[in-house]
Amino acid sequence: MKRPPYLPILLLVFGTALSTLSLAAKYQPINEIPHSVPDSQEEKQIWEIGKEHQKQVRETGEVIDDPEMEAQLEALVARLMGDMVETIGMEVKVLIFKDPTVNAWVYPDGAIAVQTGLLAELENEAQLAAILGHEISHFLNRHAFIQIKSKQKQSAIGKGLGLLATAAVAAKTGTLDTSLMGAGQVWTDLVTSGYSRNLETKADEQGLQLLVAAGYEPNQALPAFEALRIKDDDQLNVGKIWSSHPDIDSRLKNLKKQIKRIKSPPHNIPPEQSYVEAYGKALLVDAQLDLQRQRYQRAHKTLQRYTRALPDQPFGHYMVGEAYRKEYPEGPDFKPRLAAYQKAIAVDPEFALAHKELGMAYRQQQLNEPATAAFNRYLALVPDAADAPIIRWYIDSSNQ
Amino acid sequence: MKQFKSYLSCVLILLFSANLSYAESSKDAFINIKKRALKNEYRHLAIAPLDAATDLKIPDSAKNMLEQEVVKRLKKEGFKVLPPQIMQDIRQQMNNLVGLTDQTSEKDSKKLAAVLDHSYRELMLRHKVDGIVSLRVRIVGAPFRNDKAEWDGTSQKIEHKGDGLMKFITGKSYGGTIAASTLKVSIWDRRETLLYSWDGGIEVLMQRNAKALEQIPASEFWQDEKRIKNSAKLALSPL
Repeated sequence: MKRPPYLPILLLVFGTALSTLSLAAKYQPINEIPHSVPDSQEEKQIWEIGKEHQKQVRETGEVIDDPEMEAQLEALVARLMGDMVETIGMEVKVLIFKDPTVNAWVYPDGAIAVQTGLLAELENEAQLAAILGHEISHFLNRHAFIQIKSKQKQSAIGKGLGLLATAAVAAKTGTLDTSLMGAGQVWTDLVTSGYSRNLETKADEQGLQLLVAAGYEPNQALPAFEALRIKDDDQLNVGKIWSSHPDIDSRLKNLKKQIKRIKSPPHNIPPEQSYVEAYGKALLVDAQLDLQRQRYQRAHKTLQRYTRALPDQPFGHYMVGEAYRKEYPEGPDFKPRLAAYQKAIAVDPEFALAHKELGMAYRQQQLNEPATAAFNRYLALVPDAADAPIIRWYIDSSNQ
Repeated sequence: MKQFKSYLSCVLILLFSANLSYAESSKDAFINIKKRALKNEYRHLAIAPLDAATDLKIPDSAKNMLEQEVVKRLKKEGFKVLPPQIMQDIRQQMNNLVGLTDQTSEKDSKKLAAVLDHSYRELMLRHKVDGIVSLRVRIVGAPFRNDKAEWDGTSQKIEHKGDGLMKFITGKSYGGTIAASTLKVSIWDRRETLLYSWDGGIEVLMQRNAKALEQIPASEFWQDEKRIKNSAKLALSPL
């Protein structure tokens, strides 16, 4: 009998799924373990690698350093976890990565990473809670550890993964040598490879339960997961995306089924206003990142949300002006750019950067008088700015 | 028949590899834009002064030669070119205004950022160019096999005198990676979007002695005019 050509692939897929499932069955959920976690030297080492990465990204400025915003996210995680925080004896931690990709993940020690791209896509706290609930579920079920173990099995048939090498050496020698592999690479590999479909489904379902238990409207999980769908080419180019999961439609279908089954009474949907107030800084960082990547439409959309919710914040209006400047550096229509800077000044007459850019935009159009007025105001506000001598030269040369 | 099959597979392999290398080169050199669009829409380019890794100790003569060669070749391709001196002068003017020198620039990041931002904007205001060409000489790893290193479109012999005889006697072959210099030419649009980037190999920075690889003294770099000029030709070859 002729062997079908796809048989080896089928066997490999089946084998991988089986090894993940069998490992998943072997490891108890963290909240059900009677003693402290991590409960093996190997798992401990993997936690340590994760912690090392968290330390690294803080030092290199890859995450937003805003304790207040982190505290709000951590409070949300604590609300979703309820008593489990105390039962497990864990420290709730959230890191906000400066990355416009719509993504979130959880470290094996329960620290959750959310990217600015995700925060910018979500509309309210309930949607954010849906994503966090999903990640918490990955942690409680030790999915990162299980996935790593599963990959370790695969590596035996030739698929090398640096993390596994690091962890394997650590497990054998008892010492952790992160130099064997960059800690950053460790998490890129882990997040890129993603979880198996079964683990994702479990996290979706359990995350939904956590969402409802914390008093949020379960239907908000649907737009939250919809936001994870790949939206543009840029997303496609980035390997480490949660949204790269190919079966978002079937996951949404399953979620809808689960929501029906839960029969939760309707809950109020938290307002967008308070969401933007809480995570506005992340939205601005994300808009800046979008501008760097020439994703003007997305940057404008985010800035519009920000300025609508926080019209009295000058930086948002200033950023709108910057978005126009980056998109149309030569105009020819300078009106929207000028209007945005003027709005920032109207909100806060002492917002120096808006005065400077207003002056630059006028100078570009050879409107010397208003340019000089704006530059003078800038210099009066920040006489010691690094570029103050250049601005003075602009004024002097326009008068000649 | 067997011979024909083997011949056919050879041809197919050759075709396949040719296709692959073509696809790779065209994909890599032009970013976010097609070659024709770049040549039609970005007619007026400003050349930024060449930037080189400090270890390479590039003399002014070699720097000028590289810059002039790039200007010459871009003009030949039909571009209107603003020579590097224009941008250099604007940068110098901004440096003088804020009191930045080569010695202080690394220490004062705020002033440096201000100078770079205002220099760029001033250049755009004064000359209304369509794009900027940046030139950078980098140190890269060049793969070598026996006596020859090949990288970024060029190759160079690295064999030490007397090695040939040694190889003949022992029958040993060698391979690895050595340091070499390369010119990277990039073209950016006014929004600072990268449109083009390609490398042209210059020269190896190491050589083999009888026992190991050794670094060539920096004083011996930049002697081969032909190689210097050829790197500009290679870096602009996809255009």
